[in-house]
Amino acid sequence: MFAQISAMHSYTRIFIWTIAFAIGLLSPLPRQSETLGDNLCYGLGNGQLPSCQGLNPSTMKCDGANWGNYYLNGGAKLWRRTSSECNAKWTNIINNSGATRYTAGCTKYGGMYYDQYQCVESGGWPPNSQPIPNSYQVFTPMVGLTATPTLSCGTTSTSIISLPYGGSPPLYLGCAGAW
Amino acid sequence: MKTQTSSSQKPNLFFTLAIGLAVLLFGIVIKSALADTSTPVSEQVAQAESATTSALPVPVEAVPLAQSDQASLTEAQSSSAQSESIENPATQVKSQVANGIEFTLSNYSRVANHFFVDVCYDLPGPGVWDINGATLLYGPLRTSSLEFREISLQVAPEAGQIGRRCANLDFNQITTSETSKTFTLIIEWLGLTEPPDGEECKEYLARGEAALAQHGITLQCDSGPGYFGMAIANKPDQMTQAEAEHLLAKIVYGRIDGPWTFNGTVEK
Repeated sequence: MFAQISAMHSYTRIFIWTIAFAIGLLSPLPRQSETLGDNLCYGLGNGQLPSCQGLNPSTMKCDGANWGNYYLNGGAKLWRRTSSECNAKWTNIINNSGATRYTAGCTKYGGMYYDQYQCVESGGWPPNSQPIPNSYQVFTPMVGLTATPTLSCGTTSTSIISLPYGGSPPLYLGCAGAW
Repeated sequence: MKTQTSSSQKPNLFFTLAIGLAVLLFGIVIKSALADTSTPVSEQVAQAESATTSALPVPVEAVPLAQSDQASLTEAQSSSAQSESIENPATQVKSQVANGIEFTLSNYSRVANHFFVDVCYDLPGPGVWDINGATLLYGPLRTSSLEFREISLQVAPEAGQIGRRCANLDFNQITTSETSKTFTLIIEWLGLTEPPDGEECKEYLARGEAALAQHGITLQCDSGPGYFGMAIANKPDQMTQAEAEHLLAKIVYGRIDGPWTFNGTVEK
């Protein structure tokens, strides 16, 4: 067999190399968002990466898109965050009150009344919460799947904030509308 | 004879296969390089979804606060006010100037538990400022809960020039059944947009570290369980904490105080 292959004509070799090059070009590449990016989770999990649900976006290296829209409520400034790379959403909440305050927020989802949630409060959940200085910020854990309708809710207070924070339809008290 | 042929041909065979493998890998590398330069389909889908849910999702980048040239600012304001009247043909356009920043207000309406109003305002340098505090007085109701939806953004190309930003404000907590037609809108203060996620520390230091050092103030990035922010690490003994924080707000966070106050009536 070696003798037969070795004896083949030079342009037969070139043909083999061309075929190899073509195979290289046509070979399927792994999806960058799932395996080649820096992100350490994806949506609700995809077999290669674990679920992002309830995880910290910073720790999981999920970069949120920074659009020009935001929400103000109770001395807090909220941004909705979406990461297509991680297929997940969360909410950033900044203490915009001008004073040191407890700062909390939730990303709510699930059903007509958004009765599931991923929440955060400065320093930790009550009773371990701590007030944070003006312009400090917190962010909620992630909700897997960007297609999930969610509410972003948040506020600041001089006392500990009960979690989950935020209303439901139709008034959405303390929340930006569904997105 | 056969043995001699095999031993001399084996290296030739391995050479052929090695070249073939190298060419295969080269093909994969070429494809990877081409793939990196194109936007993944999933990202395009996400962008399209975002475009349908946002009024105008222009990504913005905050840049250092620049000293505004008062003379050119006033001149530019007058020209922008003229163009504003033309661009917004609403009959009830109102205008206010405070702290060198011109605000215009138009297209206000009450719909169910929402009070909508369009605002446009000057950006006094090559950065993007947000409305960080606003209050609506409507009948007995006083609310500061609002959603800011960007309509347009024109960033000043360089220091000494002004930009312009327009947005729709949606006060979505109108819980009263009040039928009052009069309202008062107070825009309290503006601040530079926050840096992108993960770049806060680097960018805040870039914005104000040198300027604050001239006042004897040094900053440090601070984080704890579930939070992070910028802390004043050192300040002169004769400076109060409030004074240091005022400088931090002005230089690093780009705070500009109003108020810009508007009175009007709405057709319910």
